[in-house]
Amino acid sequence: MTGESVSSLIGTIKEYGPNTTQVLGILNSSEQVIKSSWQELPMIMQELHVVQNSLACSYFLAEWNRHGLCEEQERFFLETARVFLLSCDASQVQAAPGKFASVCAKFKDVLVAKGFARQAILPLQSAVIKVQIRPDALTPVHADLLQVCLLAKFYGYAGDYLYPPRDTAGFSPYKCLTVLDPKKTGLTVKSFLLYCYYSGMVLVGLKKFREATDFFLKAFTVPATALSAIVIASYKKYLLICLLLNGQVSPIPEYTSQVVHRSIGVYCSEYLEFAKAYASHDVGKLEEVLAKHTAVFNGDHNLGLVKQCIPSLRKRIIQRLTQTYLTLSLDDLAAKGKVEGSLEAFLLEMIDKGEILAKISHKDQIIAFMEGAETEGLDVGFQGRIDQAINLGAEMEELDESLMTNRSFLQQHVS
Amino acid sequence: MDKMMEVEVEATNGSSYPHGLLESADVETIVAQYTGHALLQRLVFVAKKAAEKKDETLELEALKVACDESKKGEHTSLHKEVTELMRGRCGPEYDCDAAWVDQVDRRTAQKQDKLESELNGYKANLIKESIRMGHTFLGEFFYEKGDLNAALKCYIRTRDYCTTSKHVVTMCLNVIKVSLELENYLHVLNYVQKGEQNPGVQQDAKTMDKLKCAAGLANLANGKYKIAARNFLEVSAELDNNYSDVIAPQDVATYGAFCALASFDRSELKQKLIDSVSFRNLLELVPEVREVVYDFYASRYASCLKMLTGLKKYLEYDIYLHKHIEELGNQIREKAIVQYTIPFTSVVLQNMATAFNVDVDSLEKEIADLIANGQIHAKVDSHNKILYSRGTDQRDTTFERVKKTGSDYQRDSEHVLLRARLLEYQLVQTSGSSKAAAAMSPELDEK
Repeated sequence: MTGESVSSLIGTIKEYGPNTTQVLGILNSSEQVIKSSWQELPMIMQELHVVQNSLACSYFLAEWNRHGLCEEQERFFLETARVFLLSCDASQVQAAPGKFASVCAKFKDVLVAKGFARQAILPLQSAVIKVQIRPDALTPVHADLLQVCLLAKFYGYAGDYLYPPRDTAGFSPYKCLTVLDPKKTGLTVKSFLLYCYYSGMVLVGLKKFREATDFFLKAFTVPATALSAIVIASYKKYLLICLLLNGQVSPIPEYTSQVVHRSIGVYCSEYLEFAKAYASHDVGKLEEVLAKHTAVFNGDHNLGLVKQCIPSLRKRIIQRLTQTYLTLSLDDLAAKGKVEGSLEAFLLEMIDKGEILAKISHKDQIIAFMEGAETEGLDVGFQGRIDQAINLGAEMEELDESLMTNRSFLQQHVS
Repeated sequence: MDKMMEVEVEATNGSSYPHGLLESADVETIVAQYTGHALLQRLVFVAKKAAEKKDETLELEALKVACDESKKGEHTSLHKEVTELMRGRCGPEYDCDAAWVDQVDRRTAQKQDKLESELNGYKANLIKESIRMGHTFLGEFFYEKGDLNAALKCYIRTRDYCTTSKHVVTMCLNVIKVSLELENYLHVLNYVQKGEQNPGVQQDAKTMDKLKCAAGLANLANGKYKIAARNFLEVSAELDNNYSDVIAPQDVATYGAFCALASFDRSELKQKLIDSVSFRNLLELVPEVREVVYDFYASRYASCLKMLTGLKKYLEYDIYLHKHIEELGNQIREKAIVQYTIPFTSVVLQNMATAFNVDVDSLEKEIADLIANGQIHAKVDSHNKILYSRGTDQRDTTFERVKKTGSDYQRDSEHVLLRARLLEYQLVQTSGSSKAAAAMSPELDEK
């Protein structure tokens, strides 16, 4: 019975060929058939043409996302999906972006589980380009691609997928990929959150902390009526990166959802304690908190970042001293900065990296801090920044107007 | 004036305090300065504080007086509390007088019945004035008994029956008194405002003084020293013993002076404190505090701070100031240091340390902290022990601020746009989608 209807379905699909709208209608109405025939996929895929029948392929392949696969099936799925992702027809898969996204997700999951994340990069990169309706559109596949890049430690490669291409109009360093109608891109909240989270992680890997905080901020300020693990994880990372970057955590913005506001204190108490210890500028206290909660930090895979905070605090203390002192004896400095091991080596490293401007005098055993050349203020391209700000203002106005006339938006969000 | 006498006595005893300061509270002074609840409250407070400091003589002395005083009124619960605190250390005559308590309780119960039935009668007759009086009497009755919450309720109920502005003022003062004792400072400030808005009050100096005192106490308790200082400084010298069941004029002078020193800048200090004739009269009541103020203004920091440290010990026994004296003292000290450095381009720390009567190293540390907080614009040459002042480059800081503001604007706008778009497409994290998120793909670790 099933066999027959499947073969008749395939027959019809083949008949219509690349006629997307009609095939889409047929596929949507025969969901039951597709569901029940998932194990016959190898046979079905032989019948269908990857390019001619891309839409049908994504429906059948997506069905496998719901099931656990055995060894042999996995091998078959990987092979088929790889060919499919690399060569499918863009206009067809764009008709059902959700299905396509779940093929990508399964493909990534299987490879990640096997530990071959690197092999997923090229097919997923092709998939991103296929499913994008505009070069700056955000798709659910972005999150998958970023994840495999992270696992393969290809940070630089992933960096190309975080922002819209540079030549797009109105480029700004705070802009992420454009969120378009999810009906056309298959975007879900989860995939948006993962995109922000992984982007943040990639930027941490690239040591671009400022940009990273921006992505983590985007993640945990997502409109929400319920809590998500990604939101909490993002906030934890946000907090640690903020410490490394500024030495303090900026307060959670007002527009953060109520539910996040309320529960962050509960879920991140160890992190808040850590931030408080950092703010007290007491290395001993910070180490104490770190030792107390090592298990928690390690469990969250944040131990690396947490540990970076200790030398960062030492440096910050010394940098603060440069604001206060012109000269200081090395003994005093050691006592104030609580530097272990060779103080001189530590200072030399900081001077070498340009983190402080100072000279050490062996004769008097003092360090002399010098006034920094703080005149780089002029060369920041103010004209360009002003233009960006004006564009942004215009965009805001446009948005305001469009939302004011959007009936469903007003009903839902403006009481 | 009592204090003046104390000063002389201490001085002749060759006390270790050169300015004749008391090391701890003095029960006799308290008895002379306060009446009613303030007296009892303060005595109990001193006793508790003394117990903390293991000063048994003082503790018992305060408790004894409190016990005697409590028996004069109808405050039976306080009497019980006081006798419990003594734990029989003062002999049988200071044990809880059960017979007296019984008797008073019985009498007060009768009185309460009587007052309540009278009030009901008034209510039945709908005579506004009588109802107001009835509530007020009942409030006073509860206040005497020490049932503050009930008293507050009665006093607040009179509000609807006030016909003249004088009634309103009486009501406000009653509510304020009870609220102060309940430490409900928000309430105090509300009713002070209400009282001040009343027509005719401005001419009534006595009432104004009381309102100012209450506002000052509330602001002090909330840590708003500057406003508290302004409140206290507006109290006239005619306060005298008018408000002795809440505050003594000596307290007004002390609280006002300390809050002003900690929070005013130099010109405000001169204008409102030094040049104020009425406040000067109040200051005369507490010569030690007066000396602190004049020393501070005349930049005689060493003696000013020395006196301040001495006063601290005494003021720790003050029911309102004890929580704030540490903080106020620190602020005054910081202010003194900042003020000292302002006129110089370079300061030899050795000289400054002499002026403040501290050693160079600890002064250097204090200055370093103040620089780090941004209160002093200078840098320390620790090797040569010299402080160099340092002007900020306005041009550079402005550019920095412009850059930062621009970035903030851009970032915030982008976020608004993004969030609006998410909302428009209904990409909202809901409880349905959180299940999927909980099964988040494997986490990644940092290098």
